[in-house]
Amino acid sequence: MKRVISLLAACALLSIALPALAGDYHSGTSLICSDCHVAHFSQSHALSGPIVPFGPAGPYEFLLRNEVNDLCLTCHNGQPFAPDVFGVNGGAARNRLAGGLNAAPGHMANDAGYSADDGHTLWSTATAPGGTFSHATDGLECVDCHSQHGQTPTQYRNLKSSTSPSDKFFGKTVTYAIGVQDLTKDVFERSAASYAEADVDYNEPNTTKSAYGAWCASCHTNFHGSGGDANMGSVSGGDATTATPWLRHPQADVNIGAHASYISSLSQFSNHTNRVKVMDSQGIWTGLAGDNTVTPSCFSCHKSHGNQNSFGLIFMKGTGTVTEEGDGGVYKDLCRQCHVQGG
Amino acid sequence: MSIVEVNGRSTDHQTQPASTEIGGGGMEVALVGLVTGTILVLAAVAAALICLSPVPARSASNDVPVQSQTTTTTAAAEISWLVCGTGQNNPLVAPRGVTVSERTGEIVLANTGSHRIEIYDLQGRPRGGYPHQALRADGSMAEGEPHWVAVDASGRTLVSDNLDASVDVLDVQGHSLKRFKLQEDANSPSGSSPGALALLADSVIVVASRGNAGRIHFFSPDFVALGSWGDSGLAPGQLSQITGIAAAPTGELVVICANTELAIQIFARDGKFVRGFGKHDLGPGTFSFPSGVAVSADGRIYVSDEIRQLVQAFEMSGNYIGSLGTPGTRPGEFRYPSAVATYGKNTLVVTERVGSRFQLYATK
Repeated sequence: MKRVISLLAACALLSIALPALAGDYHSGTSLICSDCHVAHFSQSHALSGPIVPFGPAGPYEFLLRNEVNDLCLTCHNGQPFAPDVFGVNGGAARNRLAGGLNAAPGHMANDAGYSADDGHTLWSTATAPGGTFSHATDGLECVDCHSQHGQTPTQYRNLKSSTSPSDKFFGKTVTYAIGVQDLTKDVFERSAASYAEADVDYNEPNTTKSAYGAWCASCHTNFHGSGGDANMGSVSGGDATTATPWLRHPQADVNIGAHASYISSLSQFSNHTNRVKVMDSQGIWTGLAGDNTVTPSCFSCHKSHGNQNSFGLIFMKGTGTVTEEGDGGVYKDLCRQCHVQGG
Repeated sequence: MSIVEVNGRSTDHQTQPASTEIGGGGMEVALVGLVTGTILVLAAVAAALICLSPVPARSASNDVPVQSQTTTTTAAAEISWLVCGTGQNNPLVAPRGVTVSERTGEIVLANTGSHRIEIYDLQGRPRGGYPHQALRADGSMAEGEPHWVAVDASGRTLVSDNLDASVDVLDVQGHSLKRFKLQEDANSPSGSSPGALALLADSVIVVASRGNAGRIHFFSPDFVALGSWGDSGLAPGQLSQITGIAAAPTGELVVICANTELAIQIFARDGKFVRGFGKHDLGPGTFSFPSGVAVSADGRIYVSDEIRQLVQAFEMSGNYIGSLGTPGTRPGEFRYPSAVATYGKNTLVVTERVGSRFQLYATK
């Protein structure tokens, strides 16, 4: 109790005396403690007279006012002032880089075109594909991936990171730079608070690893990996001469077109007008003009939150109007972004 | 709506009173919700249980509304809540904007998640509705996400849709008569998209920009642009992330913003800043997320807070009157109140985005 009081007192002091920073987002100018938390789950703190308690559904853990996902989506769904992360894009960003989440049955209705498992499903109690993580009690919540208060050092999109060895996000960092490119950072945001596809690209500070992919692997452990990982075949960079060169599609460590035996073609990729997102150690990302260091990762094929395709896949055939679902292509067009069919 | 003075909790009530007592300042007032007392209200409650005949002008509705009512008796007044919009053929899904037509006394509600506009009478009975389509940037039509609504003196419904860059003007059957756009704002691409809507007494249409642009646009009753004003920013007198706008009986405009220093700001029609109140802070009269605003005929300002699950009332002077609602699912409780509307002095409508319903109450 004392700790709670101390915590809240500290929180109140901070909100008054200093801006409470949570990375680039949820700063003290946009949120204060009482927006999300209540001390005693009551509406009034009068010393006399009627105290009006909240309704029967709470109180909620962590002194929250309400259930986590509903609370987050109050601002992050269909509002003009915060990125819309759920379903159809009702916000300002055109073609959201992360796409839109969906909801498990029995909770809020999905927007038209979205259904459960078209990417990350809020309230889902299922185990993360390829991994062991599941949020069995409350289902998947925003805060399972994002640090609502931020962390030090700040991470791209407040993605979780931890210094605790027992935490699945231990040592996982996704760094970023805003406005000025820094190839030593994992992500390049062309301007602050950029959420559209065109505003963000991915660097490759480590040409054998993907920080973003490693972060996804916190939950989706065995789904994909780098070349040298055991679940990939333990051969860094891939090697067609080994008995089992690849077990799963790499999300790092292999440049498009570097291995003709894997039928990936740099010219196939670069000749597309519309290309999926890739990592690049040179910060070019096109595969043109000698850029032979483009590398696919998780975000090349999947929208982080999801879209209207199964598993949030991006069906990009290479021409046409780009939407969050691709550009009107079909499943195989995604493969053909990098691979020559029948080659 | 008259302010009811409440001393202590009611002793004969079916639900917890959704109210706070605000003391001090020589004016012990508490806005405790409803005070029913007119024959009209009692008759309306009784009538609400009767099936309705379809209204020929719109897609007919034979819905029998599932309504629940609770009556609370306090020392001073009787309070009733009417929960509406549940159990109907076209379910409310994440409803947002709401307005009451001064001309017909009908409630017009943006059924955002169902891509529809719904119509109800003042007893909460469905009167019909129609789908709303958005005009996308590529010229195609798609299921819309109607957000803000207003009804002009001619009975036309104006809709700001999350997916549409123009205001859609609809006839009583929901057919689009015209679309008009805001003046482009080069500094904020989203600023050229329409947001909150209001109508002035002389039928001039007021449209707020979305996003950070912080502009208020004016249009004649025949949709000719009359000009705009607004200074983008967070300081008093500045606007950003406008979430609601309402016309006061004084002719002033009441604007609410999601992230300005003062949640509620009053401007003269020419854009002159008059006053502001409602800080982003702790305690009564402050806000977490002001989601909707309405001004009653007697000049009382009602603002819903979608995070704090309540509606707060102020005088035009900024004096805090009290609050309505607490989080919950019972009558008089809210699940993310997303918009408010008033009719005359005595009727308040509150939509609930997560509750997927709206509530009606009248005061005496």
